This record gives sequence, structure tokens and C-alpha cells, in this order.
Amino acid sequence: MILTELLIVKDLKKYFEFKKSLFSRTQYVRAVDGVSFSVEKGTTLGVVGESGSGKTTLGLTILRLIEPTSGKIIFNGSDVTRLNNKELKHFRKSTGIVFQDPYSSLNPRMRVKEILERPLKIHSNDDEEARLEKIIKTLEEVGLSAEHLMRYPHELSGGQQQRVAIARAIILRPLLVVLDEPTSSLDVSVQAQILNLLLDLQNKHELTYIFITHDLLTAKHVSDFIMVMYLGKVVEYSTTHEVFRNPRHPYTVSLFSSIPIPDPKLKSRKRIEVVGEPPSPLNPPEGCRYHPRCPYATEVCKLKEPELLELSDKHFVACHRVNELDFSEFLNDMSSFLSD
Amino acid sequence: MSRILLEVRDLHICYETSRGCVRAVDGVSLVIYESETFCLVGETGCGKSTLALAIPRLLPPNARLLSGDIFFRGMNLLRINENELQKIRGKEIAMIFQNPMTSLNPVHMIGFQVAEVPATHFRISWREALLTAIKQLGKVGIPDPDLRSRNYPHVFSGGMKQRTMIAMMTTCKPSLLIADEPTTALDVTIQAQILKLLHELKNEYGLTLLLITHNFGIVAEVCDRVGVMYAGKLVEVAEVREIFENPQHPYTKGLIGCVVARKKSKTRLNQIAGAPPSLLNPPNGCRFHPRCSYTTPKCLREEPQLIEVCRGHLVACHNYERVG
Repeated sequence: MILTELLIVKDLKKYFEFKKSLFSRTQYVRAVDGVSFSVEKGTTLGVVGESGSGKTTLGLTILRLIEPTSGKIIFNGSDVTRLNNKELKHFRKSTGIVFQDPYSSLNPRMRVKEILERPLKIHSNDDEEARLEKIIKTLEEVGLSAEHLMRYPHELSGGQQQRVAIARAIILRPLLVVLDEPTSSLDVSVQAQILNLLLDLQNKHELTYIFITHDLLTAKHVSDFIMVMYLGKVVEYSTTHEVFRNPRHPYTVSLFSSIPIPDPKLKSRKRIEVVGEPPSPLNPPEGCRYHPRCPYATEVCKLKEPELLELSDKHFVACHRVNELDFSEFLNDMSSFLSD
Repeated sequence: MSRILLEVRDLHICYETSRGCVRAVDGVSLVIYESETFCLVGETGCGKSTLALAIPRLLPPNARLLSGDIFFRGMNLLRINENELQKIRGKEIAMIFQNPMTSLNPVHMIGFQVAEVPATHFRISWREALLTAIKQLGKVGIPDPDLRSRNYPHVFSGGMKQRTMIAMMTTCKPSLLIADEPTTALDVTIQAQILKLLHELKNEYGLTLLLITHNFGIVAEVCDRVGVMYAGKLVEVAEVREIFENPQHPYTKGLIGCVVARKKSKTRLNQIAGAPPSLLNPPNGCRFHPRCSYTTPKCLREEPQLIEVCRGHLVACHNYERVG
């Protein structure tokens, strides 16, 4: 069982220092605050949350693109936080990342060929011919062709740019790819093309994905496991099937109530209304971070922070009232959309 | 659904660019009835925003109105002079935009900006206008409106800025509110709050809402009727249930097939091959034919007209019988 776990994250924290002015006290933005999970090989973990929930920081920290404040990241048996430069280079080879905005993540002065050649030059001993062959093969895998080799990013459409970004992430045959909102800036029809491409690539190369998104329905479509984050904390974590069939955290259920569902028959479904806006992560509320917006909050929620507890097999929820709350009235109407 | 509030007739708009004329809206006709919610759906560059901007005549300077008419309560908005138009803008027809950060003036206080609208349209003192503004800010759900009206936009969150825009645009109780992707820049929970607010205001004031979006979830949640645009053309108009349950145009059908929620997890989504055409040089005949799986020789030659296939359901496709 342990062998199949590609990535294990333990109590990961990332605090950013923040000073209002030169002489004021240093404050900390607790972007990721004690997150633990594991990802099995060949599966997709969907990380869902609103802006400011720390999902992007989590993705960057796992790849050590930013240094964690504390915690462990065990990738393929070794602790990523303790790698020296040489080992880190090897680690970089086995991971990839795709960002939300393809245009700003591709160097505008480099042609597609140069963009895709960079990782090969750094990480492999191939000669130029072998590199070109790999580049063309990868381009074809992502639905582009040799004719795009000499193009600059601005000559490509948004969907094509995202395909190049995906090609760059997978050209070294990584084990893990972090996808940070890869489809949010794209049109619906292009979104579908990119999601299909990602699923095909995963099947073909047994890739493991961490799919970061704010769109629950997209997360449901691609993920095997879902982790819901709120202000740097995990509030619910389970298999996709379980999270959608039997959500137990009020925040998860209110997200289901908030997402517009593309079926006019569900227009007047019963919903939990979320009041207010997410608080600043600079100064998160005491106790349960969700309590000021939670319709079920009681005294204990204001005082004590709930722990992430295993409720049933592989279903983790961080809520004091998890055993008392019943959300069936909100979920019944939507059941056709929430189950597969 | 009763009287016609707005009627667009054969509207053609193009943008002058260095590379030629981009025909963003190319022969669109549509009717919006009083107190309904009409949704314009389409992908980037299909002309939906251009069409919306043309209604209150807010098109950018490089846009050229080639031909067509827009009737609002029988008055041709494209023919009246600037003075008359000014009486309608903000008072009868109001508009909110996608990005609330750029719609508000950063150097004026929130209250001042909202008060400007009633001060312009009614013969009231500035004090009264400010009071109206504060009342309206409270109504759209800004906490402590009295205090908050003295804030500058940068201290507001995205959701609160959008609420401010809505307050500004509803102080005069307009008959038509045009909302161009009003929630795209916002989080899902805030999006739900804003949509609910729009719905409440609509019921209270009897507003007619023209909503522009690319999100089929929003379409299903708030709309009565839907118009689907593709490459500057309106390709299908129908009631919202019809669009979802019985789409007749291959493009609409394709778009609905792309929506993730309607498919089993981890299965491939239906996808529409290719990409939308350039409007500098759109394809001949039906503009969708290069991406369509129902194409016949007729589609290449002849442009399909919007025809009524059953009551209230209009489609521009030669082969709709085979599609439906």
C-alpha cells in the first residue's frame, strides 16, 4: 500500500511574512497552515477552494518552487524539503507544472521549439536530432504538430498555448504534474478539449495529477480524490465519489449550493446561503476559520479549532458538529448531478 | 412575457483595425420582452459584448455601426441625439461590466460615485442624492452604508465593488439592466450572492435583465430565454429549457456537450473540433460549417437564416431537422 503512494505531505505550512510598514510588527499570512494528505500513483487529487484558500501556494510548495515554512513532503520515498541541489535537479525532472494563464507562463521571446527544448537540454543527454524528435512527438501527443515548432506564443490561440504549456510539463515524462487552474481562462469548447487531452495523457503515461481548481464540477470530472480547502486549512478530504455523494462539512455543502448547475430544472433547489466574504488570511478568525460564515456555528466553533478527523474510511472532515448535521435536504434535489 | 421592450433589427457592427474590418456583429436581430431575463451565450470573440455595448451606444471609437436599428420602447436608440440618449443612459438602460475594479473611479469616494447617477437624472440636491446613494448601497448588501460610502474603491473587495456597481445602476430603477459577465471575476460563493441580488432587484423593480455569460450553469439558474451567438451571428434563440433539452443548432448542441457536469466523471467530453473562425475573414455560407459534423454542400454556399422551428424557438441551420 505504501509503495503506491507517490506523494505524502505531512503537516505542511507556508507562512509569508508581511509588514505594513518598515517599523511595524511582522505579521504572517498563513497561506497553507498544516496540510496533510497523500496521493497515490496514477490518480488525480482535486484541490478545491476559493481565492485565498492557499491552493496555489500548496501546489508551488509541493514542487519546492517556494520553500515551505515547515512540514514534510515525501515524494517517491525521499523528503523533498531536504534535497540538496543535485537531488533537487533530479526531482525537477520528475515533476511538471501547468499554470492558469498560458500566455504569461510562456516566454514571449522563445519559439515553441525553444520552449520545449529547454527542459531536454537541461535534463537529458540527447543530441539535437533526438531532441527534435522528442519535441515533435510530444507536440503530436498534445494535439499540435511540427508546423507549430517555429511559432511564437502570441501566434497561437489560448487553447494552443495551453497545449504547449502541457507539452513542456510532460516532455521529460514526469511522475507528478501539478495543474493550477489549467482550464479557467479558456472558453467552454476549448476547456473540453484540454480536459480530454489531460485525461488521455494520464491514461497513456500513468501520470499523477494534482488538479487545482475553483470549479467543483471540473474537479469532479477529473479527480479520484477531492480536497476542499478554506483559508489555508483542509476542511474535507475524501474520494470524489464520497465528497459528492456524502459531503459532511458545511462549507463543502455551501459550495454545492453556490455553483450554478447547468440544468434549468434545479433552478429552485434548496440551498445553504453563504453570507459574507472570506476573511483575510492575514488575520483569520479564531476557532474554526469558517465560523463567521457558517449557518451552523455554535460557541465551540468560535473558541476551538476543529481537527481533521477520519469519519469513515478515507473520509476526513474538520468540523465540530459533523455528527449532528444533516444536509440531505440540500443534496436530494441535486443527486443526479452529484453522483456519477 | 408580454410587451416588447427592446428590439434589435439586422444590426451590423465592425471594428476598424490595421488588418481590416472585423465584423463583430453581423446581422443580428432579436427581441427582448418586458421583465424577462434574456441571456446571450457564446465564446470569446463571438460579438456578444459588442452587441451589448451597442444598445446604450457605448461602443469604442474604432467601432463602426454599418446598419441596423435598435428600438427601445419604440424609440430608435441609434437615431436619437446625444442629449436624448443621455436621459436614457443610466436612467432607463443601465449597464454593469465584468471587471468591477476598472468600472469604478479610484479617486472618488464610493458614495460620490453612486450619488452622481440620481443627481444627474433627477432634480434633487446633492444632499438628497447622497442619501439616495447610501440607501441604495444598504439595499445591495453593503454593511454600514453610511460609513462605507466614504471609502475609496480600493478598500472594497471584488464582490463589494460589484455590489457598488449594481447600486449605482439601480438607483434610478431602470427598465433594462445589461450585465456583461457580472460574476466572472468573482468567487463561486460571491457569485451566488450577486446572482441572488440581481434576481431580487429584478423582482422588486420589475427590471428586464440582459445577461451576457459563457457559463451554462448561470444560464440555467437565472434565465428565461437564451440567445446563442457564434462568430457574430445569432444561431439559436429559445426558452432555457428548450436550449438544454432540445437544442437544434449543432453549435448549441456541441457547447452543451462540452459542459463537464453533464458527463460521467473521467470520461471524455464531447468536443467541438477546431477553433472559432477569425472575424476578419469568416467562412462562406454557414459560419459554423468548418467545425460542424452535419455539413452539407448547401452549408458552404448559402447562409442559413434564423427561422422559427416551433413556437418561440428560432434556429439558423439548414439541417436542424437532422440535429434535433
